[in-house]
Amino acid sequence: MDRRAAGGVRKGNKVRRLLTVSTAAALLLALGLRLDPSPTPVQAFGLTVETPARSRAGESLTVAVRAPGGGDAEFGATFRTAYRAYEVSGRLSNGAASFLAPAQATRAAGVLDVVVRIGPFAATSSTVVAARAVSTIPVPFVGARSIVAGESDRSMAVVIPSDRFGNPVTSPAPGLQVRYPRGEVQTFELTNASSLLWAWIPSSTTAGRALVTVASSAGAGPERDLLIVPSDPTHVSFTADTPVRRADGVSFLELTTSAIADNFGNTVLDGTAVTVTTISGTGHRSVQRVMTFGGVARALVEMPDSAGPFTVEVTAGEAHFSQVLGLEGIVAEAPPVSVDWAGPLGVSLVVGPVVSEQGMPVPDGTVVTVESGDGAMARGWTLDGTAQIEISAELHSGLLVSVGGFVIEVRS
Amino acid sequence: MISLRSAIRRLARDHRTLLSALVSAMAFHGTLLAAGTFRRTYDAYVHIFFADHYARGWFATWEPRWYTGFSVTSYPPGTHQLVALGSRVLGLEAAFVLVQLAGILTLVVGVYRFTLLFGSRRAAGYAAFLAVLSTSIAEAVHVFGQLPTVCALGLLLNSLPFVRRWTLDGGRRSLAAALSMLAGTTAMHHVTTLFGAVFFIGPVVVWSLLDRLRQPHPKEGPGRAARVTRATIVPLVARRIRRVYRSVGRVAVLGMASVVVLLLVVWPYWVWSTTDPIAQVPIPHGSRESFLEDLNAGLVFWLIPWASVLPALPYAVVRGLRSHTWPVLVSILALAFLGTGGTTPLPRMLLGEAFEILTLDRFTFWATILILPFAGAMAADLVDGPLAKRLVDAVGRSTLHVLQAAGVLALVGGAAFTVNLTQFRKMQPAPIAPAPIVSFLEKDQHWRWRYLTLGFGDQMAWLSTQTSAQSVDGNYHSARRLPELTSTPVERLEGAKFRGVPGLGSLQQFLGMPERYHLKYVFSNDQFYDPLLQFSGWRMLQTLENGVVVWEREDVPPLPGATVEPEPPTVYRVMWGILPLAAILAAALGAVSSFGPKSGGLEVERWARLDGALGRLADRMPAETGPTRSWKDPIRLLSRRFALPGSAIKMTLVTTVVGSVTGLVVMTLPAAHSPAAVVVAYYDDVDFKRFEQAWTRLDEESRPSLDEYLLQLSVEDGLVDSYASLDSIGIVDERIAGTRAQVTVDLVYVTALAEFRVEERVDLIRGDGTWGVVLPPVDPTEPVERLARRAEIEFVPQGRRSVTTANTEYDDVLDRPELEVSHLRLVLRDGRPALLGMVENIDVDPASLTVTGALLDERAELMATYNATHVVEHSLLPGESTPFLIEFEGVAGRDTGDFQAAAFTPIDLAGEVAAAHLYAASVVTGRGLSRPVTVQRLTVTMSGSAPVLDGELLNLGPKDVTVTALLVSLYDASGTLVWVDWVIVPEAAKPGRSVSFHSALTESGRLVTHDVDFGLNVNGLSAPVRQAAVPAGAVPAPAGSGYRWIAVQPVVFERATR
Repeated sequence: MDRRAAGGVRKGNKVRRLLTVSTAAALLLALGLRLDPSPTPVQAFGLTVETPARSRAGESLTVAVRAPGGGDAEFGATFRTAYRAYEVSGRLSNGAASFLAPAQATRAAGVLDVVVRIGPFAATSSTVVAARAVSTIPVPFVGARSIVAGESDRSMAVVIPSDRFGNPVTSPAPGLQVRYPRGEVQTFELTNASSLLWAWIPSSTTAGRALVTVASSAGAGPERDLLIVPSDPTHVSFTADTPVRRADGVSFLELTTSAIADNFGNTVLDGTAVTVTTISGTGHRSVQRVMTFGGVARALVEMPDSAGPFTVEVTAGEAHFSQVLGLEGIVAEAPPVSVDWAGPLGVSLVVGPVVSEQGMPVPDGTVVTVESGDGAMARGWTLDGTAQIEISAELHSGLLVSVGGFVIEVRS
Repeated sequence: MISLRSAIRRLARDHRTLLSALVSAMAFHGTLLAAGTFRRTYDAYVHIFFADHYARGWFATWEPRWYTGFSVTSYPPGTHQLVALGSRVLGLEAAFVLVQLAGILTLVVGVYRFTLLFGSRRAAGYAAFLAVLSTSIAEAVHVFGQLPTVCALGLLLNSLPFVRRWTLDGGRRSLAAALSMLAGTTAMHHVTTLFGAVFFIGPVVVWSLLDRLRQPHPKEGPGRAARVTRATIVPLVARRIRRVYRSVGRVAVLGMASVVVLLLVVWPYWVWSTTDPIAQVPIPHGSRESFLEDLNAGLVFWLIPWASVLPALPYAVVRGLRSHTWPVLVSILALAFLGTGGTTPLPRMLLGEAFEILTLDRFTFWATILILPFAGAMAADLVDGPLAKRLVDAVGRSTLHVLQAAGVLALVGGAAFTVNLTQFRKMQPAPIAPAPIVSFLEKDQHWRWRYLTLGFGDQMAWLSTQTSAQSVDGNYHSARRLPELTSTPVERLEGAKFRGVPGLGSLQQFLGMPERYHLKYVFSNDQFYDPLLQFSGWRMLQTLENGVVVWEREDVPPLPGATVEPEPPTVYRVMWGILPLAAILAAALGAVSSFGPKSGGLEVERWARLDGALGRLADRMPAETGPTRSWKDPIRLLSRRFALPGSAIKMTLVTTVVGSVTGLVVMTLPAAHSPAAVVVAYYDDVDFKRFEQAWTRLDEESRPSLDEYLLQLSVEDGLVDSYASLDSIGIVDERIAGTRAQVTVDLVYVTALAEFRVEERVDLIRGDGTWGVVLPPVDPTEPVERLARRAEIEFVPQGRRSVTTANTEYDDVLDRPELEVSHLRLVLRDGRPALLGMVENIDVDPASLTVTGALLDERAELMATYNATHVVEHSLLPGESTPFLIEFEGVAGRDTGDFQAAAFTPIDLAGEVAAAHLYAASVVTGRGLSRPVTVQRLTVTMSGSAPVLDGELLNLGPKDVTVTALLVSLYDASGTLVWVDWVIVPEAAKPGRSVSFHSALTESGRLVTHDVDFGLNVNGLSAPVRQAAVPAGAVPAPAGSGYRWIAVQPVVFERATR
């Protein structure tokens, strides 16, 4: 064996020795761990847990655990409330342990179950946790937000009194106090239904804002609004702004309704739709939608261009009012009509001067219409009392010029 | 390893002109890109959006932000992923610029390398410079924003020398380089690979094979055959086969490997395209138009791209015919021909159905690139080659220099014009700052609903990159899947008006049934759509700092908290995230490699037996004397008989002269002067806002001054004047009597609401030999009230909002207003079902209405559902009622591919309608409650069998009423509602002024009441159908009309200040 080979053998032996020592050290370490003195095994059969039968939310709760055989052991405990569970762990010393339940576990009212486990063994105990007194006077939930005046409609209030931990407290039941728009106060008894207290709130005949609150021996709580709104309008009328009503086709008549009210005299809310309809003497109609402000609606109605009866109707819900006004004409006499030019493509007419009874030119924009025998129609306006109108028709078929209720026939 | 410095040094030494061209490209295109030309292009932001997708989730293939979600495997991701990578450091825009510039440089190098195959480095250098100044590339980059096309073409061109080398001499490095670059091309733009195989690789391969065919085999015997005889045919064929069989084999290998690469690199794309094939109505594209009829399309898609290389086309023809490069010439001509679009019917016949899908400008683009080697050679000839010598002889050296300088100036000018084309012709709206919109979407969790942009152009894609909110629209039409989109030729809803009635019909369906898509917000940058939004129940919410108006639709449910994202299997996603980028990396490595040594020895050994057999056959060739016959002899004979102009110069001159004369003739066509022509020209001028030109067409005697005319036009308002574009003018009648004429024109306007026809009579007077339009008289009346006072009630539904960082409550915390429904009926008009009735707000709060109808068959299965869109007043005051009509519309254009003029697609019901259900819902609103209009002077007469409604609208409010719609309720003798007509009054009514209207109503004979069971649901609760009387203000209908009462209710759109 040469030196290099001998060295190789020596190296191999070293490695083997190193491996042997390492293995031995590892075994000793493992053994050392196992040889750590362990407590006496607990006799967990017959494990018991004790808690008070009753408690109050948030109160300290002592839990006692016993194992008849004595000894020490780790145990786990679960606290189950109606909402969630909490886990804690502890250690028996000489077969017994006593500790306080977690604070959170004692806050929920209801049954609190405590389960203690050691290995395969378990023991349970239950405590009835009662809610504490109502902490603050609750805010009522009111819906519908608005009801119709007239006693037949109603809203509902729901109240959930609770202690400082949020547990519902239904006893003693508080009262529901409603201050109606006219000032009278009514108290309603709340009905208990599955930890909720509720009551109907009837409407009143007076529209307005009712205030709903929960009242108890400690006083009244925060208020909530309940709107009592007018029912369908039943009364309406109107007045016109001027006694002189001219059928000029351009000026406006301003109509103001009376206060629009329901059967109980409540004026409708702002923004309620009102329809104003007019019918002129020639049968032309106009329709206008306006809205109320302060219970009153205003409408501007353009005057027709023909004299005679002028019917105005106002409708708001069920309420309806109609009145016939008389309109005076503004054109004093039939104006002269001349032909500016005429050809196969059409005719141009000059109508005027159109004068009023005072001998003045009628207002600019007074409507002049021309109709031909074959159905063609053209429309124009006066400017300084005169209108120039072109119509695509031939003169020999005859033309009818209308202005201010006068009709003038034009022929070639 | 070669260092960068040594590479540049070698480049400067051997390829100086290429280096100069690259520097020029960086200076020219780089500067422009950095200056932001890409922001005005068509597609740049779309590519940036895709890049943003990969930046947000590299392996995600589902993009929910557009079209209610789509798969990005529908487009090769290479360039987008490069931009996404760069965006980590530079941001999206700068990364896009960098990748685009890299693409241009690759393209310039590709052109240089490709041209080197043809001949000298000088020609290649000139070709590279021409590529820098190419109007085609400038347009593709700075007008169209084509990132993948440019980058992919650059790689494809770089692959061609390796393809030729592989075909001629083999060599694994050549094959690897060619395949790596084809893989990179595919990763960027698979269409370039597909068509490039035909138009780029194909000609190079054929050219190479022909070269190989002509080159004798090294072991070929000396024998020649003067003519083909029975004795020489076999040796001749064997000799030819022996020359090319190896090359043919290599081509086959290349072809198969290319297919594998094409499939593998973007495999998820192929899977997507087979499982989710694109089945859409084709979207019109200017490149498919006839360029002679649509001169704008001709300019953009033909003249501009060809401008810088068109003079080289005759040169290429002559040179290509005289050299072995004719396959490339054939490819150029084929591409150029296909690029002419619909100018001739032949491209349509050749391409078949693909004609309607492809954008044909890409053929022109490829043609203008493929011709660059010829253009480079021509430039070299013109500088100091044979052409220059001939020109010196013909016109002298000084003139030649002037011509050369003019040529350079023309090139630079053409490129400068092209890159600034978007400045001359606005193709996009002015830049819109996205920040206010993004801020709005983030506020109050507005991203929980979808949104829609209108009038944003391609900037909608840029907005999308800034937010995670979703839009029902998108900017990548291939990904559209909603039938409302795929069944119409509308690329984007946001530009619906540019597609006329079909586009608007599609938009109407989305706006009319927004809850179906959770669409709650519309960002409008174009007031054209305002009337449509208003009458569809949308309400203007606010104007943002960037001028964009936010519209909101109330009572739309938010998106569900969790949505299913149909991602493909993980392996596909990993492939999609890794393979394309790996392919581009391989292509980059391949592109920087030079020609490697050939390695053909193995192949000789491999094919030795076949080679020997062919050699033995070829050696049977007898030695003969005499002229050699060629297969090209008949062609040469023909070309001598039908001689083309003798030189490229002559052909160029002839082309230039013919083109110029044609252009002059078109531009100087004599204007028509008939009355009808004057009227058409007048309306044309007004429509294009050439008001001064329109004024000159007025009768000189009666026309007002220009200022007064402009003033008169400025106060005109209404649907037609402010929200329409003139679609067509038809002459109905033209009557001339002496110096007077009357022309009746039928004007068809496209508005956001519907196509609108107006028949107008125009008077003309002839003076000084020309006809002049006589303006109708102006309304001389003045407002009666000098100062009008109006009281208005405003409502603010503020709910229970409080200052908190927690989520604010939504409006619906207020009680839903109570509604009553009456007169519910199902009526068939001309066989089409419509559900109609009245809704009354019996609450004390104002209500925003959503009325939905549903038809059910005998098995109570849903047949159709639709909303009351226009024919209803969406906002009701307390105590107010409205008629409604729900016409059940099918998916727009689903069957016909186009719309009827009324933009209504009848629904196709399978089976008999047995029941109809109505769902009415309301929320408290404070908007849309103005009632400024009085309907007056109402009369109803009979015209034939149809009742005709006449009347006036008087505006008593403080604002302009721009458009008014009339809901005309028709009642029968028993006071039952039988139909609701919708009449638009297009003229605006200014405060204190009135406008008249006239409309024929539906004939009662067209209506059939359909008795079915009705179900009614109000605000989620079952409710009874009430009885109601005819509303106040109803007009008695004339005898014979079939109706008893007619009630008119106006719905207004007041112009908002923007």
